[in-house]
Amino acid sequence: MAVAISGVVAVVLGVGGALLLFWGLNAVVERLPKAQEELLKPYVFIGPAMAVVGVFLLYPSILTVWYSFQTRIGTPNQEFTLNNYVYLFTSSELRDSFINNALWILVVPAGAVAIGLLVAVLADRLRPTSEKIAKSLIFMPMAISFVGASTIWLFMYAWRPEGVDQFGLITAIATGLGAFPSEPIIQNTSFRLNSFALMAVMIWLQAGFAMVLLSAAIKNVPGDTIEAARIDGASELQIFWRVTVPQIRSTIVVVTTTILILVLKVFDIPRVMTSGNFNTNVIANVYYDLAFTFGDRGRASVVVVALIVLTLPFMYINIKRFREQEAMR
Amino acid sequence: MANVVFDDIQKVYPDGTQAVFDLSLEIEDGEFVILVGPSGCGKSTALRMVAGLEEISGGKMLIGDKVVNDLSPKERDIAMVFQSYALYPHMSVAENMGFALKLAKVDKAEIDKRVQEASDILGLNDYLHRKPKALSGGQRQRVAMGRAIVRSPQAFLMDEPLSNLDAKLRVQMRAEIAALQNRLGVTTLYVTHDQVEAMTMGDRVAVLKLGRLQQADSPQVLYDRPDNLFVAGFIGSPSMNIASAKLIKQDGKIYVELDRGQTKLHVPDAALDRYPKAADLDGAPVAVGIRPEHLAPPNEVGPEQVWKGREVGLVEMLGAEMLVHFKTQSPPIVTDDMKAAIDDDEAFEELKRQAAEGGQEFVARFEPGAPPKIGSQIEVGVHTEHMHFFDAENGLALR
Repeated sequence: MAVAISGVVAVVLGVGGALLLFWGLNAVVERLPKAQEELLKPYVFIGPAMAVVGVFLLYPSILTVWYSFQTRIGTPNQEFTLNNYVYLFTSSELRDSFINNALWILVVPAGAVAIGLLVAVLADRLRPTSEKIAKSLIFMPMAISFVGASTIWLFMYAWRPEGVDQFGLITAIATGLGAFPSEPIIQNTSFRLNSFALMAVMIWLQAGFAMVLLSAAIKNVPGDTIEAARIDGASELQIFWRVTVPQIRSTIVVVTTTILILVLKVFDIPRVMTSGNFNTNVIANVYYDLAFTFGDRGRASVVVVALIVLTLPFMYINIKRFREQEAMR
Repeated sequence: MANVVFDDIQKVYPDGTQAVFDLSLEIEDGEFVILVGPSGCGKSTALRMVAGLEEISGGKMLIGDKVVNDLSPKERDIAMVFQSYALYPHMSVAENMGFALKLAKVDKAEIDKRVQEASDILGLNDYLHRKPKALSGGQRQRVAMGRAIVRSPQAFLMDEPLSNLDAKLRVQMRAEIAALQNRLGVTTLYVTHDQVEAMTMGDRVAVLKLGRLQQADSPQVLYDRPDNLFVAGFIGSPSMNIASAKLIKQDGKIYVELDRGQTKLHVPDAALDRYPKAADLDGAPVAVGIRPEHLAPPNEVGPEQVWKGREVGLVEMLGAEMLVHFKTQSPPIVTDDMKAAIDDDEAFEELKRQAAEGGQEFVARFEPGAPPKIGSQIEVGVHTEHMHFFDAENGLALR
């Protein structure tokens, strides 16, 4: 209860404070002479946002790059070094994490987009009320936090020794089918099965997001082109692949890259479900351990720099696509 | 190529509304038939039933003497041109035209050859590699035509293909499509709401109203011998002047009474030969129709065919002709038929207003010359031998 109250207070204070700030600044500027008022007014509204971005995003980013070249940070012996970069390119733990991240990148966006697309296409053929229900069900996980979703799936994957009643749904199903797993799925490292089990959680969370955007895009495809293709002799599958998909290509790219950027930063799911053990570690979790468990800020920074560099091209593609789409409207 | 036959075709939507009633129509091999009618008359639905895009609720549809009711669009081997052109935005002009052949697994060289032939015919050679977005409206229209031509299908179906073009281009494309159809000799079914398009393009025109076929004939027959008031009012621009009147017999001659009995014009036997049933009526109310070009200067007609004391309402100088609107005291026919024929709610309201005031304006098409002054009184000669007579109740021609 106390938590709820403090939450409400925080929201009220936060929103109210922001309102008060803008209102106050605006009031001050309006007292100035007309020429100065018009000059300053845009900055009154854009300024606080720019300041927040600068202080909380830009400055720490620059600092992080700087730290990545430093050792013994915060001590009198802080000095320049390239050892962090040597670590970045030689550590086997980091290499494994990068491989895991690469797997996440390959599997999760593709999986979420494929499922989202499938649901969007199939739901499009339902009656309006059924369509709403089906889409709501798929979209619902979007409202669950990563930590919450990870906890839910820990229960799904839960494992008890043979002979004991299985309460984990997936283990129970496997047992019921006569394929009792000799160890928990989460710990099964053969073919990185456990990593894929973790990715399933992310796909479950993101398929709804993909579905909503793709469904809107599919509804935007002119029905005439579909009918023209039908008359041209295309089968339903050919219509989908050769007429519908090319027309929603830019949305597919935006959805894929958006999920991809999210996946690059994946942390919560491995942290909660395995803490990065059993060969499921990912870059963000390595960073967390380096920074907060081992207190090695130089190495932690170098990992973050690597992550930023990897994210940049995808951001670029995404923004470019987004602009193209906006221009087409 | 093949004939297309509608045999007692019905279309009922799941919510129970019926869009097409008992439609029977045969389009011969190589014929160019236009389906025309005001919005909501079921013409597009009829076309889409031929294409296989709309289910047929009753009756038989035949293409090339084969019942196609349950065949998919693909199996019907027809090509369709859509109002919006429905070009595939992600394909070039050449790919758009060749798509059907590619799906049919025709080999690449043959596709290229046929696309090239179509492009030669349509003058698209410079645009083959462009995307539809980079084309003008007229060019897109041509690509849509090209997509149909390349297939060499059993029949062309065209759904208002010119309505997205500006007026000048529409006239040009109208002629081009008609010439192209003539040259290729492919059976063509063409839907439009524009009666001028219908008259100028088709071998035959089928007029529909509220899902029912009114008359299917060559343009000239439709114009000269309309079967009912709807066809009479719908075909022709400016429309036929239609008013309620009476036919009376006097001294063995037949007269038409206009202006609620104030005007009496002699009707020669020629008119009554075409409308034999009208001759039997004496004193009964009828709907009479007279086309604007059958109103003339008074010296061109007999003395008993001159309509005196008409007040000029409006004069439209069109260069080659002069349209004179003049007032009458003859009440207009204000029925659903006329409303559908006018297909313009505002114009119909105007007609109702004129009806309430006691009369309506007629339009006369005269040779250009010194225009009469607005508000002045003129005499109008009426070629009553070209008059049309319809039953005042059900609107059918009195034949």
